[in-house]
Amino acid sequence: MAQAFKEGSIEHSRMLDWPRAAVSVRADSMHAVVEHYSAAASRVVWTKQHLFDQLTLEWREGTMLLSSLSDIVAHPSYQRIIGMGQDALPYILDELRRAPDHWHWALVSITGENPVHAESSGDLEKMRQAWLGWASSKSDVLRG
Amino acid sequence: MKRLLKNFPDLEATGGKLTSPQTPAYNCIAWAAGDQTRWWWPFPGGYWPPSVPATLELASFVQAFATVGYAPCADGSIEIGFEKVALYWLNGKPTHAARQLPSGAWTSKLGRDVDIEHHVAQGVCGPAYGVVATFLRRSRKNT
Repeated sequence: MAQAFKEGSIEHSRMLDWPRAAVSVRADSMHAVVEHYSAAASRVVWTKQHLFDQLTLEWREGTMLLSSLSDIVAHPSYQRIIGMGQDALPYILDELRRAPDHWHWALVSITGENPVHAESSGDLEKMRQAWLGWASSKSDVLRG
Repeated sequence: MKRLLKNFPDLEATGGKLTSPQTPAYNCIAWAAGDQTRWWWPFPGGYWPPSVPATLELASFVQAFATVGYAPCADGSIEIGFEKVALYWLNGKPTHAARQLPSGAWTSKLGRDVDIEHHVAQGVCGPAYGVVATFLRRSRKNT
């Protein structure tokens, strides 16, 4: 698991070097530059998804037996997902479309909104529907 | 199963069995209180009885169970006409609840994981849930 994160970090640090890499490409090979950026851009998408999946896996493994919501959301991997900010939203919503889980705290933390009625608190299916309804109403914004 | 034995080392010696598939729909507190539709916890996103302080203290959990008829009792022995709940804690914080079955065995929902039946309340003591903090009971007429 740690190895996977390390590899993700390496990819990320490579991307920080893109401008320098581009300068080193000869002027007559603009096509190569475009290809370079396109390939790198697709790696960015893959890396964020991969990071989210790894963090989610770790979070579930580390908290599967817990009842304490405070401990469940305090897990370091869950906190890293929150730290991904808006980038994590599409992945969290995809997870919610698949099945209910404890994503409420992360969604409130990232969006600053709370579409869940007080009487639905604790009912994960109703909370899921509330968040998916919220996502539908914000689809233009979420699409970026 | 490996995860269960790692977290509940006494389970192998004292005995138990799986009784449900995994589900995040309810947790141990809800299961012990007889609710399979909500996740009970005094934290945003959880259900907590409105009349009970939403604090992570044993007294709040005892009060939460009082809303469904439970009151403190001496131990987890079988008493005819009563059903019991064991509350667990770790480092002074509530972690888990198990409910006694008519047979005298106990049933636990393990977080988002499975339900299990364990022969003794101490079967789920260990690094995950700590130890039994107190026992509660209510008349079976309340069920």
